[in-house]
Amino acid sequence: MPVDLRPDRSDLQHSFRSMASDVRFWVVNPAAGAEATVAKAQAMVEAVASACTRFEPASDLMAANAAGKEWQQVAPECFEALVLAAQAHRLTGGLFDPRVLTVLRSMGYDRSLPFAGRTLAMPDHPLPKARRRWQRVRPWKPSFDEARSSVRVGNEPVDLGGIGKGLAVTWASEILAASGDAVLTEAGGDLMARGNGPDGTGWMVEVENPFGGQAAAVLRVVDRGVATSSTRIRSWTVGKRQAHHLIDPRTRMPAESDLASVTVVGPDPGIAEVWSKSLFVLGRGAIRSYADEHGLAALWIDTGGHVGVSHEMRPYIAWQVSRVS
Amino acid sequence: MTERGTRARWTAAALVAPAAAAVFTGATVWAAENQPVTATASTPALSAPAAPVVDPVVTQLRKDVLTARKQVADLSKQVKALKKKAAAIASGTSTRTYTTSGTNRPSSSSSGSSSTQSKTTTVTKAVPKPAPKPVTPPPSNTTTGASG
Repeated sequence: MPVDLRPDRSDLQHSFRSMASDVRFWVVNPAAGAEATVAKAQAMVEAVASACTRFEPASDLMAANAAGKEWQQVAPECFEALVLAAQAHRLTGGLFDPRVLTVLRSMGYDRSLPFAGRTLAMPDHPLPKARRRWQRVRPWKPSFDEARSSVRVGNEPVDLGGIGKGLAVTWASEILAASGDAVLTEAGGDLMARGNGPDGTGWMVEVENPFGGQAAAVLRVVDRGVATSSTRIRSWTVGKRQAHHLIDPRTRMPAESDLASVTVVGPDPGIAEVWSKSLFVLGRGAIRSYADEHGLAALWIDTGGHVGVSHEMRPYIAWQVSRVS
Repeated sequence: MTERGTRARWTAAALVAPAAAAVFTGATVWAAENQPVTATASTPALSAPAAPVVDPVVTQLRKDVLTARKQVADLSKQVKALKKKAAAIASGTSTRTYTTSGTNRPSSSSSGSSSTQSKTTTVTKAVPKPAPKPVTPPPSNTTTGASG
């Protein structure tokens, strides 16, 4: 469990629930007016959640999905999130693809589900056929009109779950940046750590053991975003089949990965989130070479409990085990 | 002597004489065609046994075996030395040999000439054991993991 290394100081900590996740702000040695800044940051997170949710038919994202090939004006938060998603799609060569909404819905994930601490079972029903890997996936090419804040997402509806959360963390962190000596902004596993942390040596971030035991590693980060993709919580069953929310865009089915979790450190938590998801889809066999080739700071835990790190991740490791159970 | 006896003797002589002549002639011809065996005066020397013909592959293999044995001996020495080193580290001390060279100034009471020499000093230094890896993680500020 996280431990406040400086419990004696009156740091400002604020938590609330949004985007189906626990959101927390931690301002070290807050400046005057920090409370107002925190309120502003919370409003930003809620604005992103409201614009980018797929669970509200009236949200900007769902309006754009409904419009399909037609232009649709959306809130700036949704517009920016879609622009970032398109960039991420190109950056990862298609490994990140937001066009997964139809698959998620078909597996019963069509509403906010109470995952935490439970095993969810959906009634059995036929799932769409998996796409063959050799079948060509057409690249996603949405259109953007920045002047009118309008988008054309295309025929296939998109989901901004992970990337929207990462973007919300980034923006909230920017708002909070000047409110104290150091600021931690986190939402459901994704975080932005600004400054040198509570004790002046960096923020200490524990990497969760996806099997529930002792932590796999502790990272020391300064001015870095951290994101983790894991199927530990957002998993469920459809009949006798296991399903989770990390969809392989090549098959349009839950990724059959031999990885249990992937953590990525980078300058931006939104991009870190994109990479963690993409590396998870790649699987154990390719993750090390891919991460090293692309200069990604990644830590992964495979389904056998073995912990691996890329070359770029090593400077961030404060403590690590080679295997978890 | 009777006539009959005389006749028998003449008959026998007539038969034996050509046979003897034939044997003589044959022996003479054989003797003319064959060289007599001549004994040498010197003591026949014992001829050295012919050198065995050795396959060059076998020779090479023998050389290889010798080389490999030498290598094994060298490696055994190295293993022994490393075992000693490991034992020293495990016990918390290790012996290190330093070779220092410099000018050894004579004292004022000496002849006054200076000499340069090499000095070998053996120093036993305590090498601290490496700190054991902590079993429990250090305190952290937050956790990254599955979203929820």
